[in-house]
Amino acid sequence: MSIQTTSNENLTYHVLKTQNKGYITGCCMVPMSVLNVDYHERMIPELFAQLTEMGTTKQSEDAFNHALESKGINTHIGITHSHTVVSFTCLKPDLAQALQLIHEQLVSPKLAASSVESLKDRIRANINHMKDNTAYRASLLFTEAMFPKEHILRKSDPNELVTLLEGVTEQSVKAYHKLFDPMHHAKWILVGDVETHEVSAILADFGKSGAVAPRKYKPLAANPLKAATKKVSIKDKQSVDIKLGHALSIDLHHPDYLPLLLAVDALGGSFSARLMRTVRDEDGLTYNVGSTLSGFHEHHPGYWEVYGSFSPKLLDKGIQAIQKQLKLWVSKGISQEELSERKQGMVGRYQVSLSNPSTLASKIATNIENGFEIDHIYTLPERINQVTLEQVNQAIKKYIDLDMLICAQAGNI
Amino acid sequence: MASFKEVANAHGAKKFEMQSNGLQVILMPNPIAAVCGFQVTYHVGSRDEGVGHTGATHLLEHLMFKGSKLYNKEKNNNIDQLENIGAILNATTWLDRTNYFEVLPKEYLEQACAIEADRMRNAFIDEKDRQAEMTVVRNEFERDENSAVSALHKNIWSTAYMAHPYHHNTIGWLSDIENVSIERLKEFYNTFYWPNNATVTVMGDFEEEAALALIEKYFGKIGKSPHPIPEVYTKEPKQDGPKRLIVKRVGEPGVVGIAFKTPKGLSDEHLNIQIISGILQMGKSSRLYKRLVAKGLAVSLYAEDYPNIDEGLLVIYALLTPKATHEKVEAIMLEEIERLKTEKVSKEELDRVRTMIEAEFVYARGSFFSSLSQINEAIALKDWTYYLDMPNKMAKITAQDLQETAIKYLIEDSSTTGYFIPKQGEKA
Repeated sequence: MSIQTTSNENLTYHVLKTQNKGYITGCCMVPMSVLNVDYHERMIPELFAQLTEMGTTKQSEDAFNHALESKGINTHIGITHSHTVVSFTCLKPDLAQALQLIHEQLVSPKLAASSVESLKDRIRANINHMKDNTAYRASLLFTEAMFPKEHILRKSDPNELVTLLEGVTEQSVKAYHKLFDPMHHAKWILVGDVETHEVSAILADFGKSGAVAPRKYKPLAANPLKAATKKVSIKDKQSVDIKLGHALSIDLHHPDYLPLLLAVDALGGSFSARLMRTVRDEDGLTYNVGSTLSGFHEHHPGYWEVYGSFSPKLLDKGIQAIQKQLKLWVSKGISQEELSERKQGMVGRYQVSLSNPSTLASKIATNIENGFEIDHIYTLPERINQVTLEQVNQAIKKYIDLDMLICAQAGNI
Repeated sequence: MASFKEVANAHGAKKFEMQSNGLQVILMPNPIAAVCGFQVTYHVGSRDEGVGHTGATHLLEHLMFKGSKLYNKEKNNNIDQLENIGAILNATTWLDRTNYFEVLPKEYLEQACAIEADRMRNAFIDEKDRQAEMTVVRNEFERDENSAVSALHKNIWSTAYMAHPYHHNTIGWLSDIENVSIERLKEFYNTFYWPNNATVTVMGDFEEEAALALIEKYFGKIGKSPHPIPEVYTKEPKQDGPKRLIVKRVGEPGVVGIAFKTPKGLSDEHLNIQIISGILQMGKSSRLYKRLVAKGLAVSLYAEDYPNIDEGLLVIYALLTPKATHEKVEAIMLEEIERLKTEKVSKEELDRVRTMIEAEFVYARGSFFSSLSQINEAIALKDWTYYLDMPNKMAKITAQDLQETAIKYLIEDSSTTGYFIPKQGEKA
């Protein structure tokens, strides 16, 4: 299997034929999102994305949805920091129709005033739900402590989101859409029972030279590291969500990223990692505990976190049990045997996950978005295998500072 | 192989029975990658529990990860170590079954087979492990209680059923989770975990002879149960009138759930129920999406329309926006349910739902997890080709069939309607 890339001055498409029969999955990535608008406009890209599914200038919302669903075509539109992404899955005979409908929704959305208001009602409900979602509220406290206002990784306060939402109008969404040509510099990814020439024939008419919106977001630095404990009490919640960790100074492309990733994986990447084996399996303190690297995008740094959920009465014991493991991890590092197991497990699970064409397509998209070469998807296992024990344990010492831990808790506490 | 008898062959898959112990084996070749899926499905679920030990099937499932005679922490080869060779593994418990599965690089298929065979009869099921795992499961219960939809789901099912064990949720009641004894759990294990109450599924890139040889090597040593596997004989009495309930808690969003009793899962009428559910809530072309979500009255819709061994429920949930009232949304849902009885659905609507369901089957073939899940539910129903046959069966369903099924089952006297009402309370 190899990815075939075709590029012209307007658009690029990556095609990967797999052993799957009868269907194709993939996405269209348009380089336009929250990085291209002012902070006070940050709700517009999300509303725009969802409005493209509510009718076009060529057909009503009902007709558009019927055109997709009567063929069993699944589409989903969402935004990342830098892109608006329409993902799709369709049966092989319906590929042309699927891609044409995606083109239509992006190029000719109706953006009706009534749809904007109806959508705002739904989004208001989702924002209300965030207020008593313990996982979201813990993340909010955690990222507020790590990042200054308007930082791209800082979660939004629900009350602020409502204010930003109320400012979105039919005119502001239409103005946003006029800023860019969705097909100019769009990247298409297609995986499954598909050949490049089939895609070329469909996409031939899509590309045209048009506007590309400039980025308005100016990257901000994280707050200086500082230990803090943040809590929010939410009634009637029987389980408390917690986050522990701090911001990091390296990005995905840094040579220390993979060693740190393996270190964090050994700490809490799966059932067999330290936190699950001790805090859950031995101590019985939680259903869910783990650690991960998060927030990394393009060449911007992210953060590391330990997450968990605890009964209110076991919360203190749970945090103590996590901290005990953190101290061991930082002071002694991990062993050669542990590293070998983590590397083999990480590479094996990666290869298992690539058996699914949807996962393949999303990993290709993420790699492109983060500025990796297209063959990164194939070279990653080799890079993981090259990491040494010394690199892993040095990365822990260099980047993890337990004296600067932020601890965020949300629930009935 | 002589030790196996081929009992069925359909859709490119084969079913065998191990002659010595009654173990059922399904082989589903699908060489899309150098990966295999291995699964053991046991015919035991929360339907097999009674008062005082609700949640036992699920707690036992957790204890099955604590080690067995040949694979355990002391030997440093406990099942979680399969992750270190690239396996993605887990287990689930539901009303009618329990399943354990591994998706892993094909060269390690033997390890999954060996561990699953060992824990079928040699799992430790130890008191020390129960004590630690009880609090883990309790936190799983607590996490679930944080959700408005989960809270309403539990209350609707426990109100709809008064005699049948579908009355209680699979995770069990909190006091049972905390107090069930290790002896009770062992008794449960010794009653149900036998080859003649289990089906092994192998999926992916493998050779038939080699796969059967592995299963023979590890499961062939296990004898069949010395007792008959008990069957649930409790029948839910006829419901004599509509039931209503309200759950009030701090939490969002408001939810309306409307449930109707449905026929047994293997009944042809249940396929009609699934299509009716699709017409009501599947996709943006569905009737309730257009009237509730597109109009800004609901954030989303969700249905429980899966087949069960015994008579189940069709439950349609609407998650409300702040501008909607429960009463208004319920009235619209009931209007659309009533319309299914008074008007035949159009060919266009019927075709849309059938096509969406059929397409999902094709897409599921690309995911080991979806494919294993689908065959697992079919095995639970005791018809392993249930989902493989479904497109052909659905093709024969007519608008008349749907109308008759709606008139027969979507009746007020067998309904249970629940509201989740967000309670105003202090929030930080």
